[in-house]
Amino acid sequence: MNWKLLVKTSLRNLSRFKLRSFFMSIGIVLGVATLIVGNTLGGGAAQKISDQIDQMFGPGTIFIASAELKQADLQAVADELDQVIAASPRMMMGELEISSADASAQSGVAGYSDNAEYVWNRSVTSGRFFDQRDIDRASRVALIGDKLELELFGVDGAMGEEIMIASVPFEVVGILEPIGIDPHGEDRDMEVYVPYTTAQRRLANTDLVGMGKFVVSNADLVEEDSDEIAVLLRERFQIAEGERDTFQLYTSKFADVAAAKAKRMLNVYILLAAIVVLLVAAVVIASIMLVVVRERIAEVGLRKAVGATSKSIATQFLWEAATVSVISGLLGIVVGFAVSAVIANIYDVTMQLNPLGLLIAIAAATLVGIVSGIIPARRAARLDPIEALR
Amino acid sequence: MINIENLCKSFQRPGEEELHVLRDLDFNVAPGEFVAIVGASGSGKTTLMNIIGLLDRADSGGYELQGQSADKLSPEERAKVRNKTIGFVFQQFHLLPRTTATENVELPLLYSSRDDADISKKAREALCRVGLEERLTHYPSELSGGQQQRVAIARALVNDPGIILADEPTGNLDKESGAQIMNLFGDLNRNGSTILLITHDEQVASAASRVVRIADGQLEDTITRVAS
Repeated sequence: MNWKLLVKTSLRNLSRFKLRSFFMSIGIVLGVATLIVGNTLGGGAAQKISDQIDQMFGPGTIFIASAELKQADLQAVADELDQVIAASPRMMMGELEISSADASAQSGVAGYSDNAEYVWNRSVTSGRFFDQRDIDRASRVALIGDKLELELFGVDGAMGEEIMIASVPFEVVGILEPIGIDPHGEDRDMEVYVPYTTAQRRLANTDLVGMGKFVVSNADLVEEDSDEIAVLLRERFQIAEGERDTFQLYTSKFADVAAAKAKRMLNVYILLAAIVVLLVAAVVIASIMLVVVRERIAEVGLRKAVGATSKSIATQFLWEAATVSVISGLLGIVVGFAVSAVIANIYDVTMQLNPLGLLIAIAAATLVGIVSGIIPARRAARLDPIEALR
Repeated sequence: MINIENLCKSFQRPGEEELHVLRDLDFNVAPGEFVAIVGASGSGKTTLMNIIGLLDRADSGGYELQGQSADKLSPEERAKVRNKTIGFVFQQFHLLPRTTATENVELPLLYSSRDDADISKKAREALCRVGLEERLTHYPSELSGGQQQRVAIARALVNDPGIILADEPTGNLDKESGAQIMNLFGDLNRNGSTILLITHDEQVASAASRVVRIADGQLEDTITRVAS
């Protein structure tokens, strides 16, 4: 038989047993779709992780978290170390009830200082950021994310309107730059920023800030700077020799390493998932094909009687497995792109197409089909036509 | 067409005595003959048919098909001879399910290289020869037993084989359909086909121009009739 006839015969046989062909194809469709999703979104997701880490850290920054951290500590570090050119607090208040006249929502509230626009790398798209007066007077002013604005005020806009944060009235003076969902799954466009002094006095009744960030003058020296900050803070917190730090410092270099590691892990996970699915698909196809051979013993006997050689029988079954696999592979590519498009849309990730990955996906599907077809094909080829026709 | 000399075949089942199915059997068929082999079940007639049809090998003895010795053919060569020279008709029809009559008849052509258009044309012609021109795209499940067997005969004819081997072709059919099938074989024979029929039914065998009886692994009294 020539290849055109083989394809035609394979398609005909596969369409004779539609349900079975469906079960054979589903594994490969899923495996290839996984490969395609990984291929198209892996790069974009890794890029997004980098972007988010850059947003949180930025080059030459040191992040600090400590239960006993006060604004005075941050200020002291900035004053005493020349290489620390900025220090800025971040006081996380957790989720609070936010309401307008017509609507309400649960949103993350955080206190920032007037230099947060620069140090924490987020500005406003309309209105104004905090200024020194807001901090000094603990003004009841707030910046809100664009999604929260939409939720509380609809299309009318929130600028100049009053909102209640845990029953305390605030004036909305700015709308935060949209940055999407962070790696912890928090939607940062639902956030509320208030001056940290306001958060301390009017919302939390504390003088702690909990977190802060330093910007240093030379990004290459963040590790060394971090060590100096640690020495200084141990002194300020009066931590005795041999006692553990009561604060954690993370440098942007550490974040870069973590991001690279996250990217690698993401790619490995996607690849592993695809391999596992394709292996399962191979086993499923092989076992279904074995059943098919058994069910089609009479057909094999007849084909041999009318002139099929063992080789052409083997070829036929191999082609059937390969045809299922290639068609499923193509279907998997379509499904993969569809799923990628949906995910990309929801999580705002850029889709990238890597032609090599596409080729690998098709090759993997074909390979799975051929490899899983070998044993059933050999078994069919070895059938004795007399036994088979009995 | 067929020349067989001193053919022997025995089977050994585990724990049983060796069974000599065919013993020093001689058998000849000339081109254009319509021969029936009759015998009780277990008389070895199907074994003989399998050997003639190159599905099985004899233990010893000589077998020539169309002047060519079949003893030393490789499995690939035997498949090729089956494809070109022999047309099989079985008691159970052995049509592929969920496959149209035309596609069933095309089957032998798929294993001898030809172009696609020629394949379906030949299949349709063969179906016309067995009177099924109205049933080309029917599935076996939509056909009566007699019609299914005619599809099988068309499949046996499609490659213009030297000989048609029919093993109990009427065994699964009612009397009337069986008679029609035997008439069809008679027509094919008058148009030049060589036919070898195996049956246990004397009535069916009477359609042939020569009847040989197989018993104890050997062929006995040969009745030859002059074709009317």
